[in-house]
Amino acid sequence: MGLSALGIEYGSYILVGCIFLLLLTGQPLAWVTGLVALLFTFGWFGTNSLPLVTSRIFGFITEYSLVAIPMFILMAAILDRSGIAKDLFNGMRVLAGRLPGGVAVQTLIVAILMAAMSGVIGGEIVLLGILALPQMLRLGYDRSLSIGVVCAGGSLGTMMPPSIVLIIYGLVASVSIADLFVAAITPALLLLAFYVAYVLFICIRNPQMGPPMSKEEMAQESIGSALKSVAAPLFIVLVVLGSIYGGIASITEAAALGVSAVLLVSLIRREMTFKMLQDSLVHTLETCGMIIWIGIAAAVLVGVYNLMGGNRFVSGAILGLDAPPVVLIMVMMLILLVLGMFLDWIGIALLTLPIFVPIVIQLGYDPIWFGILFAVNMQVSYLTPPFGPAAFYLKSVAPKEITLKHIYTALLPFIALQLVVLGTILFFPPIATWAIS
Amino acid sequence: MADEVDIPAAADGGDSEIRSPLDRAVAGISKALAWAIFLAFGVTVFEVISRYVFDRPTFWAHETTTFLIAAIFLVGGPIALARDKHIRVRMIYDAVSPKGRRILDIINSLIAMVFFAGLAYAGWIMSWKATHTPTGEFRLEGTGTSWNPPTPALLKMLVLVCVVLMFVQTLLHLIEAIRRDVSAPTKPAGEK
Repeated sequence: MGLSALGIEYGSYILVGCIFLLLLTGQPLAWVTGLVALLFTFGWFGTNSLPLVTSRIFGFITEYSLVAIPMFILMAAILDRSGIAKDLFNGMRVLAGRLPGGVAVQTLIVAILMAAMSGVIGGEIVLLGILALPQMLRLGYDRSLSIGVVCAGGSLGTMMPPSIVLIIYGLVASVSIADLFVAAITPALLLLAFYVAYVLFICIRNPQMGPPMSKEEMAQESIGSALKSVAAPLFIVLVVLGSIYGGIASITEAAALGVSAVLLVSLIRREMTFKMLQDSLVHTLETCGMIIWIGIAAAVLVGVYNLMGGNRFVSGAILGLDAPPVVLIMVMMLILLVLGMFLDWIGIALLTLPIFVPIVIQLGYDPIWFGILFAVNMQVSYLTPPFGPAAFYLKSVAPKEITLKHIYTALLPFIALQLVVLGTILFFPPIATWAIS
Repeated sequence: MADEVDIPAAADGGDSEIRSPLDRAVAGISKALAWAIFLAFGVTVFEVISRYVFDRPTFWAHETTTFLIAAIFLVGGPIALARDKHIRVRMIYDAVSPKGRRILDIINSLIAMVFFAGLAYAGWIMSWKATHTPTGEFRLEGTGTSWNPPTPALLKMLVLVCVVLMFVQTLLHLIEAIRRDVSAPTKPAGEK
């Protein structure tokens, strides 16, 4: 076979075309990517090169930093099954009473606190969908605003450290994950500030969008119960981020310490049962299988593609645009945004970053800064149709009459806010890099 | 508020249908295998404690956790397949009739089987090399550290086991899709 006769340019088009065509049939992303990788290995280099594919699989799964991923997923799984989030949400009611759109602001604050405990999205959106969405709808909040707050806020889990998106970025780009964790805090808070400002702006202009609570409900709130409800979350955050920022433990070890903190808290709360732990472990195993096989397949594909000369072709094409460096970064962002509409973040990370990061470094930019841009970009990808994971998670727990179309429409203003933040960090890199220099 | 929603079940996307006895067996075994994650967690915490509290870092914790988690990653493939948890773009799949869906299922199973067969071939060669010297004698490949556990050989064989398992799982899905009767009126699609 001589696929290599096509040349790298047409080879690239066919490769990308095959992926999208196969994706449309409903074939799992992992098998699509893996199959295309396998076919190109076989077609380009011949049968003898096929073992390259499996040795890359072996190399990928035995990366030590990946051990942190099941730890963070397990931590989130136990958190989701405990009442910690529920207590936190109820306790934070003190924030909601007096403000217009108060419950939406309360939801966002709870979301960022939960984000600082967990590095994955999914469980968080489901929890907010169960706790906050009915509460807002009952009070007569605008439906779109409520949906948007839950999905955008719930997605902050992978922007706010600890975040498995940043772990994968650090692994692929060979930069310090701890530095990424430091740099990501300001941009994550900036996203939060934009969401809060948007809610307040909408609700002050039109109080019908977020009417206040009844008098009795306001009477239930107290500073004491609020402080009590944040104690456990703050303890967990302190254990994980404290041991990372304090330099006591590696990311993986900090994740394991986080698991013990969550176990301890749920034992004290008398919520830990054998069944709960068993369910959390099985959930972790399944989620790992789902994420890692996409990663495995993407790692294999990019390995093959680079052997074909794909990295030289793409960087030649991007650098050959003969545009100012900042425009080239914008081109890369655009590619990531488009891919984010169709692919899962880990697939995008492993497919594009081995090609993009060397270009970024060659252009003289800081790869940590690009990592933060990447993380914000993936925030957008959670919300954009047709494949916006946040929408699917919310759909699974939202009232029946809320359709996917309602959800995606509701997310548009929040996507716009994310793009504004993306642009802000792009043009003012110090927002991300001030903390590490 | 007395609304006690079953959060864990909702977070897992509810109970997805299991499509064959093999899938049921795989899903069943996952309950036992999942404890390897807990073991890896325990080992990591033990390492941190022995380093800071007893000032005696272990020589085995790092390689043990890497092995356990790598094995978890591999078996996660068949387990997620058994419960249909792998991420896919369902736009067209959800929009077509049961008849169209059956055809897509057949095509997808065949394509996936090509993938697993290719991986199995490559995995076989890799496993052979990891368990035999160039002269053909039996020898398990180790990590090459002073402890030198034979974990690379075990993981490479596990790659082979997992892709063969997924090949058989998909073969059963193919048989199910071919036999599926789509002439009877079925329940409407979930989405839309």
